Amino acid sequence: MISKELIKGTLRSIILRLLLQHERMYGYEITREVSELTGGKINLTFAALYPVLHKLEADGYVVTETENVSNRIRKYYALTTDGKKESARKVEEFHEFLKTMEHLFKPVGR
Amino acid sequence: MPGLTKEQIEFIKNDLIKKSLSRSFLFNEYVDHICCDVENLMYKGKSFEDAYKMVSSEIGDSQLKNAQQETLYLLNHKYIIIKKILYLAALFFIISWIINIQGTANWMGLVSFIILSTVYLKLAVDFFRERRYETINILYSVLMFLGFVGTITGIILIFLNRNFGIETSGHGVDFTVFAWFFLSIVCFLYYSREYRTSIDPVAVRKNLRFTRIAGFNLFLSGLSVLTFPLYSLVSGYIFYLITIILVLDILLLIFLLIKRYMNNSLIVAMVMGSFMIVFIHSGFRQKLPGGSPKMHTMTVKVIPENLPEQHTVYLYMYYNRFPEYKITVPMKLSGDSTFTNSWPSYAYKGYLIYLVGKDSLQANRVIMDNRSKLDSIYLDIPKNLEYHINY
Repeated sequence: MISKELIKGTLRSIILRLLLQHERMYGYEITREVSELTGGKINLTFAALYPVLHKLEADGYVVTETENVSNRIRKYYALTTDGKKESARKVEEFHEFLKTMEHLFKPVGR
Repeated sequence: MPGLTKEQIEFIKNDLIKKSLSRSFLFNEYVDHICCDVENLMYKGKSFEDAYKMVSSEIGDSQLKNAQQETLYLLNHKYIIIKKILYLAALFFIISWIINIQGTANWMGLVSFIILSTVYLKLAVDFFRERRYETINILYSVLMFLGFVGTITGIILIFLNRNFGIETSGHGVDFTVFAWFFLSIVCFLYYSREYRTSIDPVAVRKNLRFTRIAGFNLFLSGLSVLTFPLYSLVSGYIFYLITIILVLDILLLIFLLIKRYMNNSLIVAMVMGSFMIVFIHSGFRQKLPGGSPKMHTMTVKVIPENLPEQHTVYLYMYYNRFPEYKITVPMKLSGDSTFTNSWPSYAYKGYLIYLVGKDSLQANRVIMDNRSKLDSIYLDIPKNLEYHINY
């Protein structure tokens, strides 16, 4: 399992990246997808996921549509044009971050 | 995967409501997420009861509440900034009335209103951006924008009129009072709708309070708007209306502070705007150091010097917005046969001088009996400050 602290800083990027790969997703679907893709190493909690989704919506990066599915209301999230740009930017930023971290944490020769 | 029955979904919903986890904007997602989890476990062979118990214990009430609080924080932190901007407007406004160094008070007062108007504009833009969620947000946005335009236009007109004597026919007052009226409508509609749609008892109570506050403000702003066409009938009561509004607004602001409602920028901006707009039109401001307007002093020297006993000079004036309602005011004896009177230079447009009588009634009678003479001694502010009349 990866610690919550590490996930928290990258959660926004993870969600944007997933939404870029799918036309639209709902909350539970995102948690399942992340869990499957990471082999259960990252489990998004309820408290972590929904605040970020709502913030992305408020920032105009995602739009939502609600549908009645199996007798309950389901809210789908999809990226806007700005959201797609932000997603690409976040991915690039994250790669840069990874390179820096790799460099920083590479084993030190004795 | 088998879906849950309507009854099972209702059971989950009711359980969440019992736990006070039903803030409307997250409630449906709570339900759907939990239902998906339960369905997943049922697919693996668990009964509904066992599956729901497992999901409940895994997610836990605290996690749901945390999600709610975190969401509110992320969505509302911009309103925390708005709160600080409103405090800044209040600070400038208060300073403008208590300190007046080299005539800066009026400028500070103007700045305070510009800051307040910026908040109205920001709220109008926010409502417009959220139009895709609720169509009524377009209406809120338009009314907020009218509130912004009214406040900024009105205050600039008042500022120009009071400080530079530019004739605005009193429209500064109209603009600001109408702005306040529009803001009250937005507040009332917004919070009454929030009240109807909230499920969480805390949110219900808060929105009910705000609806009442906004409703009362709407009533008072409506009355204030009505004083324009009914001025002649209600002019004697305007002082009481202003006093009630100001006292009420102060009490409401204290209430919002004590109850920690200051992050609710819409209601705070409306109550603050109500107080600021009404206060600048009230007589109370003149009692404060920064509130004394530029005065226009009129001096009349009577020739010959001896007036009949108990007789004085009266000014026959009309307020700039209502030339049809003239008033007669006595002048004060300030020296040998010299009479003076002062009034805010923005308030009265024209005056007629007449030398007569022991009281204003007698003065009026004489004025009415000598109408033909009056036009010849009509003066426009701020032309003559000293005038000689022959008695």
